[in-house]
Amino acid sequence: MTRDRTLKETTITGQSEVSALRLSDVSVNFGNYRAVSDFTFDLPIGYLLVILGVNGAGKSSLLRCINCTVPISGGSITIFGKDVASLSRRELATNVAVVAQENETKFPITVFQYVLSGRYSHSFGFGPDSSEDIAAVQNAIALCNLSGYDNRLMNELSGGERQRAVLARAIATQARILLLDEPSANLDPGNQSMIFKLVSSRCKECGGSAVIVTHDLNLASYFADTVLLMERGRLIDIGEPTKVLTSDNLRKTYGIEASVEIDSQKMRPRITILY
Amino acid sequence: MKLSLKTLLISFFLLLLSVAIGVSVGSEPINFHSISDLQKSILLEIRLPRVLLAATVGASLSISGAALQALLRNPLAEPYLLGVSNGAALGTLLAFVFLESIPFSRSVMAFTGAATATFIVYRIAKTAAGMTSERLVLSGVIVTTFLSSLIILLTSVLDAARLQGFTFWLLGDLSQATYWSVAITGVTLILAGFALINQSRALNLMMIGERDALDLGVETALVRLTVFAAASALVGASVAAGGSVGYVGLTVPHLVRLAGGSDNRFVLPMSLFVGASFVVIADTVARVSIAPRELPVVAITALVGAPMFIYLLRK
Repeated sequence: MTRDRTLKETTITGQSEVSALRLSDVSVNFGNYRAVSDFTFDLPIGYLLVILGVNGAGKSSLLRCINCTVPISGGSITIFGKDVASLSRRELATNVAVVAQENETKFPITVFQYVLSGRYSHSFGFGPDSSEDIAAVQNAIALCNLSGYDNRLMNELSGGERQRAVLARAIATQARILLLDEPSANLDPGNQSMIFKLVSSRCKECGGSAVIVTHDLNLASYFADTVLLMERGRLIDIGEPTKVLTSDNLRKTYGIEASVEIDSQKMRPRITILY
Repeated sequence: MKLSLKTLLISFFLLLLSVAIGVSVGSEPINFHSISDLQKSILLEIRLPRVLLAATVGASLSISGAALQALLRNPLAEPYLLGVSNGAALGTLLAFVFLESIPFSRSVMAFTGAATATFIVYRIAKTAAGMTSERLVLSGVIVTTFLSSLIILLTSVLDAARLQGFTFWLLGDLSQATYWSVAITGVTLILAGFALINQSRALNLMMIGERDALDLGVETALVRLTVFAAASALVGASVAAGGSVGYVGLTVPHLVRLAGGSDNRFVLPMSLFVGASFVVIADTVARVSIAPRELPVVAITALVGAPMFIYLLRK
């Protein structure tokens, strides 16, 4: 952790140019269909990036190509200065954790076992789990307000609890980059803000970075350090929430009318959609 | 439940106990205090290899069933139901008819048949959207029945006298056991069993979901290849030696999971021991229940396994 922090500080003071995530001219093609077209951007260490766009804009493909589960057809991606293409799956998993829309599990699995699966990339062979693994799992479970749920079965949990368990697993990996694909879809406002708060504070405290895909404009506005708007595989705008989340941009991206005021306390845009 | 030395010792002791029972029980009663030469040769040349083969076959089928279930995320995956056993049976039959003079041809052909059947079922069951239980079971049924009809066709066309024992053997017949067949299945069990147990942590993740596993650092393609190859080798060796003993790979892993949870570091090694004991006991029952005649061992395993299959399908 201390090493992480120094890395972060040097970046902020400009002594190091290592960014958490850097995309140069990245494209993703599915056959003839271009899902992501020539993306170039830098995500400094400690930053939370939120990707916004309509369904089918290529958000998930953009997210997925970062950990190489969707192949890129051009350009390059580096994390902490290393080309992701040169990393093994295990190395990738120790650096990048994913929170996906969760699927139903056929086999009964306890919350503890589920979160423990996040430790795979740190383990070898088939022996017992190390005390380090157990500690990381217990810490992640506590962070996600799941204390006391260790022996509950995953398929007995509510939607919010399940999603928190998925997040706990990502945190247990101790990867410094978190990728979250609509983590708050179908969740109540309390669980939604809890997830964003947790991810945002992790970015600041642990020298990590996060990329979140969401459809919630206000969550994006209040928690993001950088907002990226995309449409049909192309980058519309990227930058601070106040710069990107304008009525004009929202009309261009979603085809909606919205009033945008600046919350004077937090200095963040507050968006009201006009129906 | 975690795999502890205690559970391992208990299951090993149970295996020894069932082997002891299997060896001492039979149509020829044996008095161990005054043993005759005939009884000695029955014991050492017929019963012991048979009981040992039952153990290796049971262990092989159970551990491959457990691994296939985790890999395919489907508690119904089983070598017999997936057509893997029938693939191996067809391979064995072909070797028996056409390649009899070539050593090891039965085992090699059984492995080839098992691997081909596994691959075909997997390809039929998998769609772009993933794989459902229904699709997997259906493609298993399709391949199984197709292979069965090929086997029936071959046995009817070919010299009937030569294949007399084949139909009985098809239902699981351990009576032809030799130390040689025990050695082949035993060595396969050690090698392929280790390959599977070595993947148990990765299989824990595959059981949650293939994409989750990939995200968490599992080389999913390698794991899939390892499990398919190891399971085909195990089923191939077992079928070549003792016919297709059905339902073992379904019943045993399920009982193990029921007792100790679904962590494959526990399920795989325990299935190996419990499966060995299960088939040793089932074969003993098959030998003695209507002595001096014998039941096919699958009659016993299916009696336990089929109701469990129905239960799992309805769950």
